Amino acid sequence: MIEFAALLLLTNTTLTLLLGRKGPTQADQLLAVLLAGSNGIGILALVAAWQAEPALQDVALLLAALAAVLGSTFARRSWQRRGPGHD
Amino acid sequence: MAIDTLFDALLAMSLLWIGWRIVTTQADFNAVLLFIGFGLLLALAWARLAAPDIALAEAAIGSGISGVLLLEAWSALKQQTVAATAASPLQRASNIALLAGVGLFAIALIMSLFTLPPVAITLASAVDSQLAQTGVSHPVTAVLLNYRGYDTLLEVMVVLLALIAIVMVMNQPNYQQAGVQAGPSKANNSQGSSVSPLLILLAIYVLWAGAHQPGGAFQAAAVLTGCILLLGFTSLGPTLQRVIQQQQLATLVGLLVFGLVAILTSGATPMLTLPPAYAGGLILLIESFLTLSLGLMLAGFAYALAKPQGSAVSKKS
Amino acid sequence: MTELLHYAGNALTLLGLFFYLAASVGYLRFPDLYTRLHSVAKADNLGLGLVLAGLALQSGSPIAALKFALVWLLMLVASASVAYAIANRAKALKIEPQQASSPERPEA
Repeated sequence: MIEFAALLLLTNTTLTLLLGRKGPTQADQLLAVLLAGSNGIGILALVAAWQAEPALQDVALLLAALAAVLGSTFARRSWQRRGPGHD
Repeated sequence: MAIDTLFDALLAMSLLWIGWRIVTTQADFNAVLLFIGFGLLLALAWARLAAPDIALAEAAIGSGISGVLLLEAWSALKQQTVAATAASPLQRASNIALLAGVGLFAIALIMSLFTLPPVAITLASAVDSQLAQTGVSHPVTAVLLNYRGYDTLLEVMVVLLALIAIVMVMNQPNYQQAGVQAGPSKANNSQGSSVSPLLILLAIYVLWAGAHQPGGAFQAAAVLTGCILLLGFTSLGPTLQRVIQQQQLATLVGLLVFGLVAILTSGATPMLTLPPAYAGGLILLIESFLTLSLGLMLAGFAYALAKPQGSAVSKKS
Repeated sequence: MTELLHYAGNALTLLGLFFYLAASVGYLRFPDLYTRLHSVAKADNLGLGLVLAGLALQSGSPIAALKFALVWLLMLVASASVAYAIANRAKALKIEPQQASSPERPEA
């Protein structure tokens, strides 16, 4: 059950990354990564239960802690143009 | 097919595909984002390989902090756009030849993996046999800070050198950032004030936990850097940035403490041979100051890369 | 009792998976940035929350449940503030939300 959930979530993550990288603006492309991060935390928690390795819960905790930094950096500092991410 | 095989296969194929896209994509921003996704999937791969320490380091440093630093570097480099030109036939032929050569080499390496003797060297038993005298109960921390403490010392020196190099490069005039930076909003302020105490506690927890489970100074430093960067987006930001860029002593103190311990423990025995009676305390001491220093260094990377236009920034000489 | 917790945990995890999937589908199919931000937030709030709740029920350890609660709390704050920051910046960069009367709206 947990393995199945992890597999589904991994498929979700990969498909989102695959299809989302061509977004119209840079923010759309960043959203793909934010979504992948959120999925990744879920997968890590599931794998922690699957392999009975509680240290992976700490990995999920660190990812959650650092999740805000990427989005905030992009919005406050890096996003200067409304166009796509081609330079 | 078993579900875990499916999971691992999907993970491996995604890693290969994303790695391919990072190398071949023309858009830098896309490559940066894909790199962050790659780091996340790599952390998952380490988790599946039963290596939670590496998964922790990859998620925190390789994906989290490195991603932020790459994003800052990208925005600092945006003025320098290179037009993408199509490859000439000669270039294309040489690309294919190179690819074929590298592919053959990769296949040869993988095949050699199958011909290795079953277990040539087992260091795990050697590590475990002396674990009681290292001062910590987690073998990875024992290796990092006791058995191979010298390597960790040099690694921190490398980070410091990188910081100095970045500050020197960013002081060149053609790297002035041209964009308008948005001011702090109420959301930024409340985010900074609510989350930063939690992050500091989390950093202390990860640091402390490194003694008996995956954790340690580098991961705690990544959390600390995240906390500093988040605070940098609040209205406290400019003051904090100025203070950090002037706090050379605080940035260096980890290296200084580590070096001091190295000097004090050299003598009859090789350098950094921690005496078993004090090993636990010494390791905690070194790791605490390392966390502080590394956190400040990594935040220093981000602040150096995001230099505002035209202002006089205090240089780290 | 453990059986009940196990099944309840499975149910919550499945529900969380559904929200993750819905968030991804929404992200890929919604017409403009602002609606996509809404969709991504669902993954962080509901998707992650339900999956973690299901795992917490099945873990049998109060420490793990507390850790999961902390993860969810951190993600909630992160998701809300990042979505707000991106939307704010998008408005400053003059990215307009797609209106119902705009000609590029695909026929639903």
